[in-house]
Amino acid sequence: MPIGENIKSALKNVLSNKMRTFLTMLGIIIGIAAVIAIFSIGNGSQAQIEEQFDSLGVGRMTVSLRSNSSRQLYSSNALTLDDYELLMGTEGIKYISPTYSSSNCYVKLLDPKETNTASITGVGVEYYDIMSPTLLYGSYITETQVEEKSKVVVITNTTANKVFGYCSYALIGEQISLKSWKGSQKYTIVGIVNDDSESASSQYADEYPESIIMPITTAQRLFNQKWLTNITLTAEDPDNTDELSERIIAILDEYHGTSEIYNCESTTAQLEAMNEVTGTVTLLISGVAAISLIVGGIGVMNIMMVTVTERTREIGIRKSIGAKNSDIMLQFVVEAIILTFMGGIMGIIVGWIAGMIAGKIIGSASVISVNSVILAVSISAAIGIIFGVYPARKASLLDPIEALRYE
Amino acid sequence: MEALRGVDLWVDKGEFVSIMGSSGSGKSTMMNILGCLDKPTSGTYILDGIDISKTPDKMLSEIRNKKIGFVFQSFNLLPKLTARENVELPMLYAGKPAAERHKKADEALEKVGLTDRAKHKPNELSGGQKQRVAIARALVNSPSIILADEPTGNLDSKSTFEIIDIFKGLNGDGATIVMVTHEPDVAAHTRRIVTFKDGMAISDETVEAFIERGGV
Repeated sequence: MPIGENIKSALKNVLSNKMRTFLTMLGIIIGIAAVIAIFSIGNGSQAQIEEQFDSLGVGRMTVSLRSNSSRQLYSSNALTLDDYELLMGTEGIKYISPTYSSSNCYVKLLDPKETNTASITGVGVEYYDIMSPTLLYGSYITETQVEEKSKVVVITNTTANKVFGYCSYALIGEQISLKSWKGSQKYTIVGIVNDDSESASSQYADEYPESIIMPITTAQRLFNQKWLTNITLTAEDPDNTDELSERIIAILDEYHGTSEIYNCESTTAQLEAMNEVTGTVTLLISGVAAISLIVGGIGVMNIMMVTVTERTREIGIRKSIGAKNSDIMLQFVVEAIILTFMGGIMGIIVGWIAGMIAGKIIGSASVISVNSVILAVSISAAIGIIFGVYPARKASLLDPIEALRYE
Repeated sequence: MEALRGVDLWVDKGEFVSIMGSSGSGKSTMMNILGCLDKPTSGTYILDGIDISKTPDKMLSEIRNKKIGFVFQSFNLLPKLTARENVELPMLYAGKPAAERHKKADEALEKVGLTDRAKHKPNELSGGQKQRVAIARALVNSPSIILADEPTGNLDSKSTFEIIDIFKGLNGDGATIVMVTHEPDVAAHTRRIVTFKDGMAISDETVEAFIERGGV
């Protein structure tokens, strides 16, 4: 029997009892809808998380004073350049740099009257290796500049455009005015890096503070502080940051005779935690989807068994006029597949709508991918085959004489 | 328990044979064997030169499809299909293309005088009309033999004679027909009558002998 005729007659049978068909498909609809919804939301949030991972770098760690304890409680010696030097040779550290950050500074923009907040970061030479920014022109902070407390800065192309109106090699050696409580001071630009922060592409880019890098010693002098905001480092083995973190804290505690005042954590730890939550939620919904699909499949199997019994006589008639066992088998398998396939299509529509609504609520993009649609359709067809084969085989093995006698 | 014992029956091409007998006489088992729905536990059944008793089960469906046309007492039409779709069904299983199926189904329906009912479903047809659709379905693949199991059992006398007329016409055109019936006046319209009792053929006579004996 041609497959086209088979599909036509199966469709006719499935559509002849719409309520029953719909109820049978319900489990499949819910299951597939859950799969599609997970994928459409998951794809969106996964992409966001991965982007953040990339921007934070792998194996990057930060040593700082615990934020829940007030800085005033410790001496101003708790985290200084001495600690940076102490940690420098520690095994397991690839790059290390002291940092001092403050936004308590202003930079003059192109329009003479305008200024913008500048976020100053004082860094060591290895900060470049840790952050690995794209250097557009000039060079990064050098060791000599750190030692000599040189009044040099590295700015971003965004800042260059805002201060000078253009960004080119010609800006290297130009001066930029930074205004702090000490008054206005001129700094020489030694390098320009590409601004790859999220704010660069934002429509509110103008409102973000300018990000300016200078030698750590220069920054400390500018703000008249001895201490560091934190020490940034990269672990040699990104998968083993916990051990390194413990070792670093132990070294610092021993040196200062303190306990529980230092914090050293992988910058990706938080994201990992967040990712884990997303993963748990995905797993949970996947579980619901899997159970729903299995229950739906059993529902389809149950209805197919009922259908086979109801249509015993029809099977007898078909066999008596020449249907092979394989014809009968195919007829019922096709019917089961059509049931689950239609359920799958409805599930895709429901899941797509649910994904859009959920995406709006949690504020992440919801993208329905071709892959997830293909996956959903294949799953639903596979369920039709898996749960349809047994009833279909039962139908195909019916004895025609018995079947014809069935009332 | 044996339903049939030592039955020896030869049907020539173009014959129109009645099988008579009370219930339990073995005539239904005989029909199942003739229709390749069942196989004899011993003995041979040769249809059109093929030894069915030695044919594997898998091939029986093809033989049923190509060489046998069934007509049942309860019509056995598929209720969701139209008359024409019912007639097309054997050709679907034979794998014939759509155009040929439509043409042959229309021809078969014309032979039984139901052209104007082609698009009706079984529940829109009278008993006699249903049986005519069933006959069209039985003859559409040009089978070697048409087997009718009490074809008039569910019909009023008017329809009964319509159906008998159709069978007579088909037989006149060369079709071989074996019909089970328990009504002597129906059997009297065939040309040869075999009577079964307790699993054995107790008589095998011409219709003239049957009438003379007072069978009707």
